[in-house]
Amino acid sequence: MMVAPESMVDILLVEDNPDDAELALRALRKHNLANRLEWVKDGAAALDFLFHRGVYADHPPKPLPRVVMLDLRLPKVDGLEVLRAIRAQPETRELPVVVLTSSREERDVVATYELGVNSFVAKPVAFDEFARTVADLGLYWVLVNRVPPEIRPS
Amino acid sequence: MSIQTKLKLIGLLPLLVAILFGVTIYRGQDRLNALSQLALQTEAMREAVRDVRDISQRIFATRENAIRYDGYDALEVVNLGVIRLAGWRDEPRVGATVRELERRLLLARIHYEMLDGLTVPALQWSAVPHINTVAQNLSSELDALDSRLRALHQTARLALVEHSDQLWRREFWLVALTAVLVLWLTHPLLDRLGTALHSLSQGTRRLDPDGLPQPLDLSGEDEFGQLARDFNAMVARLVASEAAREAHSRELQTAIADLENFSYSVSHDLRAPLRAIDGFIGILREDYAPQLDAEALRLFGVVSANAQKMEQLIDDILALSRAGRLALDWTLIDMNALVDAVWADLTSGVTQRTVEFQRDALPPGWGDPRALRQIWHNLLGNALKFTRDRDPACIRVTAQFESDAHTVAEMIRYSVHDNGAGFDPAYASKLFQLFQRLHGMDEFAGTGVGLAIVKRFVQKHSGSVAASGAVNGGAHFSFTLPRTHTEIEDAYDGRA
Repeated sequence: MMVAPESMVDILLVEDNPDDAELALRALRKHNLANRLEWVKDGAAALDFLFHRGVYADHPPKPLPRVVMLDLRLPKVDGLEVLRAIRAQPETRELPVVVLTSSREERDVVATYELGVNSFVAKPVAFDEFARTVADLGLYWVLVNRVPPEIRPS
Repeated sequence: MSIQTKLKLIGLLPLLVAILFGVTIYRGQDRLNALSQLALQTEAMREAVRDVRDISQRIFATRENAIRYDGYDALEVVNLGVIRLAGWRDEPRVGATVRELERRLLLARIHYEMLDGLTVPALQWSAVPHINTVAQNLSSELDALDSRLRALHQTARLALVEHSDQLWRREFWLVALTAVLVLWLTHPLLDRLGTALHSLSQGTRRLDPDGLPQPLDLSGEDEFGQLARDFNAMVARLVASEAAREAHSRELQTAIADLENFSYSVSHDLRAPLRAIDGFIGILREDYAPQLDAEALRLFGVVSANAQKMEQLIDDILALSRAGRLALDWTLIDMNALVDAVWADLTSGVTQRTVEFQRDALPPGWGDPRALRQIWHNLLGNALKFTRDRDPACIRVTAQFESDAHTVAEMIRYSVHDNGAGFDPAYASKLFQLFQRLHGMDEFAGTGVGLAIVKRFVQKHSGSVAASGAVNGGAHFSFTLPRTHTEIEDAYDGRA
């Protein structure tokens, strides 16, 4: 199946706070990583996107993104539920998921690792640190990291 | 009726019977004595009657004058005996005999006197035949007297035996009846004692699934009934207080859960606006730098610094909250190694200062390694921070044994001494309170949480914290830990 390159998504950003999203987008944009980015504002939308449901049902199926940047506190379906659903489905089981959250609670780290998260990153408050962290994440997962072809045919 | 009263009454019954026994024995013995006396007396009287007969025969045969007074004496003995028998005249079996005796004695006296009179020598010749008749009459009267007396004697002896048998039979039945009565009265009591003790010993040990004692099934108005009612009241109180305690515990659990949710929200939601403030200030400073003058950039810097300070506050509050919630993992900790490690950690980036650090040999302590690392980190960090202006800075760690005044547990006091800025001892009590600082933010940075965390952790170890110092005279902070783990549990039990 051929998919137009411009319709491919590298990063799925699941973030309900528009300010955080804007800061993240700006950091990624500076490194040309925001072009192929889909931003959803809650967990339900994230699952709709990944499993081609709801508003994403009509679109031609897109391949999975290279990475999901997932906040934990989300409306409707929270981050842990999204992660659990991703790991529960065979087609998304190996999808790289990075939790990007304000929480520094140990129980969140433990819970997400138990569900098989690929990385847990606490959002720094300081702007420059935040920007650098998000940019580093984008660069690493989109440009450096390689994923199995069944997740994403290149 | 109470068991005590019943026992008293049953005990009183044998006492009454004993009195009755004594009285009847006493009276029966009186009667026995009287009968025995009667038998003896009739025997003596028969003796006297025989004397009279002998004397009369000798008078008749010899006409001896000298012995006739002996006959009167013997008759007087019989007479006195008959007078003594007067008390028996109303007795049914004896009365007639006694009256007959009196009559016969009278006749015997008359005949004897006649015989006596006939022995006068002057009358001898004319009354010879007559004297024979008188002697015969006297003899027959004496026979009658003797036979009556013998009968009386035998009657008395028979009555004596019969009465004695009767008396002892009566006493035997009295004792036997009492024994049966006491047994009959004691039996229900013993039965009650047995069943009540059984149900008490079984019932008081019976527990319901929650480990609470069950109410006793034991009614009655006696002591056992009262005991069962008291026990049931106690069980009811226990159940009520257990329910109250459980309700309280549930409330506490809810409160803890609320607190955890709260701190989680603080952790997550309070940071987002701070990030937005700092982030958009950052965008402004990056994108609009050309349009902004130096003062505007400085003001943005102030905003940015405050946002970051607030983040530090949030982190510290969360650390304090975590300190309160930490489930302690007790191990014996090598304090020397721990203090050295924390010190190395704190001074790894500081090279331009001269700090004389002296650590005495510290005894190992029981505690949670994470908590103790935090305690040492905060105390040594403070010492390092407040000796910033000293050259050289002197920081010393010591330990000593002491005993807790409240729990009498053996404690170890670990201390950190420094020669830093110190504090006004008047405010020493405020040091360990949350957000309380004795120095301005422009003097020494900090949020006022570090010592509060130290206090929280030390309290969780059943220890205590103390501080002393003087303005510009250095400070001395110390905390205590129990020497052994068991003493810690004892201390907890004592406070629970």
